[in-house]
Amino acid sequence: MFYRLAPTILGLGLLALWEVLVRVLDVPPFILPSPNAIGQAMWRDGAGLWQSMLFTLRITLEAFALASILGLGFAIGFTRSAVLKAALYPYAIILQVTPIVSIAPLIIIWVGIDNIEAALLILATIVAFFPILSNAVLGFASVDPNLRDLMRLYGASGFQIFWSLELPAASPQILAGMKIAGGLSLIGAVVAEFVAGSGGATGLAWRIIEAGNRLQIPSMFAALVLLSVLGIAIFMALTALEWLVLHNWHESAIARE
Amino acid sequence: MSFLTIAGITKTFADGTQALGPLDLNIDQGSFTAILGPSGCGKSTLLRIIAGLNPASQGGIGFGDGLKPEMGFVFQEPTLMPWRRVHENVALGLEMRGIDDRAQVQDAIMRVGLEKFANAFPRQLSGGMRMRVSIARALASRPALLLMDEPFAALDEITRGDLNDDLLTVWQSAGFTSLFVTHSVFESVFLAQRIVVLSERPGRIVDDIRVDAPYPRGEDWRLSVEYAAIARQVSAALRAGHHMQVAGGQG
Repeated sequence: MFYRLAPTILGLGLLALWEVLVRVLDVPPFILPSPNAIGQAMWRDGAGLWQSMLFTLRITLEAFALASILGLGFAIGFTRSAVLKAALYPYAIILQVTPIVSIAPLIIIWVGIDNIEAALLILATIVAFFPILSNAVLGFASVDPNLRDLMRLYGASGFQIFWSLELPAASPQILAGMKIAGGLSLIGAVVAEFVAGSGGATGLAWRIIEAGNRLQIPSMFAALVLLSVLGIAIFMALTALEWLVLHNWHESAIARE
Repeated sequence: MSFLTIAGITKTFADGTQALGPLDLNIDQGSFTAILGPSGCGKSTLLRIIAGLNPASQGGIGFGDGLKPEMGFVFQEPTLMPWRRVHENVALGLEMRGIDDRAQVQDAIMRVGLEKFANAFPRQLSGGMRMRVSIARALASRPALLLMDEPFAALDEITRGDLNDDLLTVWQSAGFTSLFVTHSVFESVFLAQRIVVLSERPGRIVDDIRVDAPYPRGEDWRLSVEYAAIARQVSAALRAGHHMQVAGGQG
């Protein structure tokens, strides 16, 4: 029980220390605002922050969904065709190792001038795509060959082999990839918005830039807090999904007795 | 006409290794045949060719009525789907054909004595019980031919003995034809009506030994003089095939 509460207790303790130090040392709010001031900023800007959070959340979820579909789709294709894998995998890796910040200005110019949301979506998807692809490829490659043979012996169709064997067998790896991709799609959305500047995107990153320009440091922190909350929520949702799928049978989800 | 005819089968792997044959064998309907040989003699390959999982390089497989019969396959490992409960694993073969016959699944589970564990996940079972699930899965689609590839090799002696007893009971009541690959002399003598001994790679038939003891076979068969005599004969054949280059391959 104490282990579960430990992070909360630590967090509250640090917040209290922060509040006390800022007051005692009389730190000006444009250097470091107190937690209390951040809370007030959050309350004051509530409606606007809420809109921005929904914007960022929407881009993140769309990018995550798109990356999941594309990652799984290509992984399935790679499992079926060695030629396809040999031809495309190097490019997937190039896309992965090229820093997104360096691609972002190009995408923003090509796509973003007409449609900034589409540009953000593309960038966030690129960031989130690779972990799903590589984990799913690993998962599909680890399917027990004897079970494959058994399915063939039973005359299973290609779809039956995929649905009843490959997908469940690869689900631990796919879910691990999705868990990484969930966080990355948020990072991708935020980075893309930073590169786009205030050219039309109205998410939480734009709030941070705007508040920074006006030296409204408490508002910057308020947007930052909401970004963390979003990240944590996504992580928790995917952890719950993982538990739902795996808790009955997979080693990783079974408590040792 | 025999149930299964193996005619002039050979297998050469892509790297040029000759794994098997040439090999000719006739299997009678409803019989229990053990295929015994040293590791790497191609006995698993033979089973996979019969199942249609791998093609033979030469020769062919024929079935009595010309049609490929319903087959069950039991691997050395239980090879279960860990995300499926016992009854869902057992139902796999039927499910792939779109058949939802709970009674048949239930019957297969009962035959291997796992009715209390129908809803368990494989991880909750012991190694021997998982093997039983694997056998039940093979039985559920009512095979005419049951192919077993060293199914009990990884189990401890006591569990192995229990499973041997139960396998014979199931075979006697269900009446399928059994092909049982093993490298254990004693297991083959205990189980089979006929023991086909293969040589070192490429596997050819060294000896074809009949075991006339009646079923049910139990502990008294294991302790009998005839059992020991046949075991000695099988061991001798196995040793003879160890370095020998068999010319014809006919048993």
